[in-house]
Amino acid sequence: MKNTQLAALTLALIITLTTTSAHAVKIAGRANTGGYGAAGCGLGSIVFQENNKLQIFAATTNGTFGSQTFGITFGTSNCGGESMLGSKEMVEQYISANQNMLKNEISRGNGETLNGLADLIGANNREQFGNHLKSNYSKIFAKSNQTSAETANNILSVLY
Amino acid sequence: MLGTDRAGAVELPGRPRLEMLAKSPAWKGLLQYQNGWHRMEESEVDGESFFLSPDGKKDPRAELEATLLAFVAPVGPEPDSHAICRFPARFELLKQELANDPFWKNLPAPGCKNLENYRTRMQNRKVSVVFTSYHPGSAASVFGHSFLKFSGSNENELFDTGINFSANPTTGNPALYALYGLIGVFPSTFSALPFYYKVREYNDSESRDLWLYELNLTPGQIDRLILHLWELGNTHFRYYYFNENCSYQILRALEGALPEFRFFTSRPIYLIPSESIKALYEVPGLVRDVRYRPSLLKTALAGYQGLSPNQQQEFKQQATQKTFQSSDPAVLDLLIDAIDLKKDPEFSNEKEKLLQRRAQTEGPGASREVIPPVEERPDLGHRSGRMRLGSEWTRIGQSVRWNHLIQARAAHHDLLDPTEGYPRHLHIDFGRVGLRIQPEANRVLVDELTLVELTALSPHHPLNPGWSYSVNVGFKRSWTPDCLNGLDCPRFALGGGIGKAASFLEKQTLYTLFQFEPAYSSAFFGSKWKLEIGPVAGLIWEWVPGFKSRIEARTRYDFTVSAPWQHSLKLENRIVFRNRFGFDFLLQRDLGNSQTRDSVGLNGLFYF
Repeated sequence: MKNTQLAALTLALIITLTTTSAHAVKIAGRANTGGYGAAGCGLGSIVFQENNKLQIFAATTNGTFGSQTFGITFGTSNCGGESMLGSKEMVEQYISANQNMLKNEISRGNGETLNGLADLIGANNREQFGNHLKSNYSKIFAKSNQTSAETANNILSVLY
Repeated sequence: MLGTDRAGAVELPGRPRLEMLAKSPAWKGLLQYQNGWHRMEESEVDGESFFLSPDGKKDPRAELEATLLAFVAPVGPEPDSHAICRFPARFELLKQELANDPFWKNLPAPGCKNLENYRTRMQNRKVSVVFTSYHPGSAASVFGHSFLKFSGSNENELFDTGINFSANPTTGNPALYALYGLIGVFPSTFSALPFYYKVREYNDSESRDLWLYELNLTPGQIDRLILHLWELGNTHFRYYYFNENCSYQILRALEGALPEFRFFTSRPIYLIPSESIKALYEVPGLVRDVRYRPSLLKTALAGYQGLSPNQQQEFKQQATQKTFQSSDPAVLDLLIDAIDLKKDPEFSNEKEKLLQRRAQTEGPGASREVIPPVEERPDLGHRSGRMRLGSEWTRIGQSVRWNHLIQARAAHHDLLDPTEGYPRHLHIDFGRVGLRIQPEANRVLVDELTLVELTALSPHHPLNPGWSYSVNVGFKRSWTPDCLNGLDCPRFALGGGIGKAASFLEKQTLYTLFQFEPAYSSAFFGSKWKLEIGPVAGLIWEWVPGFKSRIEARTRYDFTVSAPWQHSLKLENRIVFRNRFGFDFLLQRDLGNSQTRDSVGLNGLFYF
């Protein structure tokens, strides 16, 4: 991979990861679904409450506007792609939301979700990136039930 | 929010012009006006802040004037709450329609930070309607789901944006949940999430296929849609499971922003997601491309198909013995998939070991390529409503009768309907009403009122060892030997069954279920309640597309009568032309308490 570019990015990421660790995980007015999902066909985002993924997503948002669903999910979140690529929140959120598939694909060394991570981190050579993570699988997933922040840290540390 | 004093100070554009504009489809579309019951027209939006006039929900002209005045109102301490920032689609429309009007000359410039943020982040290259396939494991999404997807320049689709409409339930109680979902208690909203959340939720966690219908929209049209979604995204609707549901609101958002497309002339009584996909095709040329994203199960099945017989053998052995010792990357991949499909936390340690083993094994592993099952594309299916008209000849002992039957089904698909566009092994009938005309007795009887009838067959496969099951709820007439009238007994029944299925060739399905059915009828001899249990076994055979046969044998044990055993054997054949009309032919024999009932039926079918 392009070492200079990647090194600069990872360094920046590690700094931000370690300096801003405090995330208040709050999600107002969305709870109390009891695990039944939404009525009708629109299950929507509620499904993710069971494994805390939505909370982590919502933790990166900051709503200050009226009735808010769109304000929250759009105003400050990372739905938009390019402009947010490489941000710490997006990497961590991505790893969190895709944890299971990412783990499977790292064990194989390739896949769409792993390519997505390469894009986010700015690794141009996807094949090398995949192989490198694959050969460091046991370092990245050092313990069971680790948080996505820990996984993110581990990934960045093996890339270094 | 605007006093009359201020309104008086601003000169609105000329009355005739406003009158015409207020009635235009473009303006009423942005306000989400719709013809409801008795063709009464009002906005379907239920959030009060969506309207700038207190009469805005019913009076488009009042809302137009209030909106215009709000646009020229001074900017307050929070610029983002200015009308220009909150209603950018209305603003664009009115500026265009009333161009060069002196009204605009003192227009404030609030500088909408939130809106600009949204516009720069919202991907605007392509828009797709995504159909999420059926989920028989959950009543709320058994018919599927649909949402919008916006793509940008990023080639990895996972970073696209999903725009979803869904209810926000306020109760965890299942009975209240169902009731509230039906009668419009839950508020529902649009929300936006990165597409990878949708992929993980639907493709992986629920193992559902996604079908993506890319729309043929110009950049200008996409921009209008994005602005209108901003307006809709900051308000709420009441949620009605049958009509004001996810799929309806997705189409309505398109209609509202783009009045050149018309999907509805009035609010339908019900709309299921697959029908909303067919509706896209009613606008010629609207769908540009159809793509497919396989579920985890389909991916794993394709991977399994690509294994050599030896590898398949090794996979089966290790999956059943749970030894997981393979050193073959492809077998390891499928063992990992098999554990993911099971979703059993009991195997998390085994999975961890498999993953570590896989990380140490070189090689390409199992194929992840899935050939899109074009025959399941939901837009290709028959319409889900069905009329059935026919006659039935029955003989019980010496008595012979003719009946005529009229049956209507609201939705959706049974196992003898043409498979094209539907999952092969899933039968869901919702809302079926039947009348029986008895010419000799000169009377008309209600033959059935089926609320729901569901059969989810899950053909056995090493990767899919799940159970098959059935559920039926409703009122029907069916023959039992203890019927007081010597004919068919009306009964209220709530039945279910569980069992196994196998598909030994692709188009043949064998199944057996153990069923139970508590039932009530005032026409039963003796006890008015009964409980029947027993096995049913059947074979469905698709000869050619549109022509299917089923033979089914059933034995029941009735706890409440002295001669408890009843048996039946049934042969059904159905031929359907062009997914539109057809006929079916039935032969059935029932035996019980040394009586025999034979029947022969012939019906015409029409899908609408």
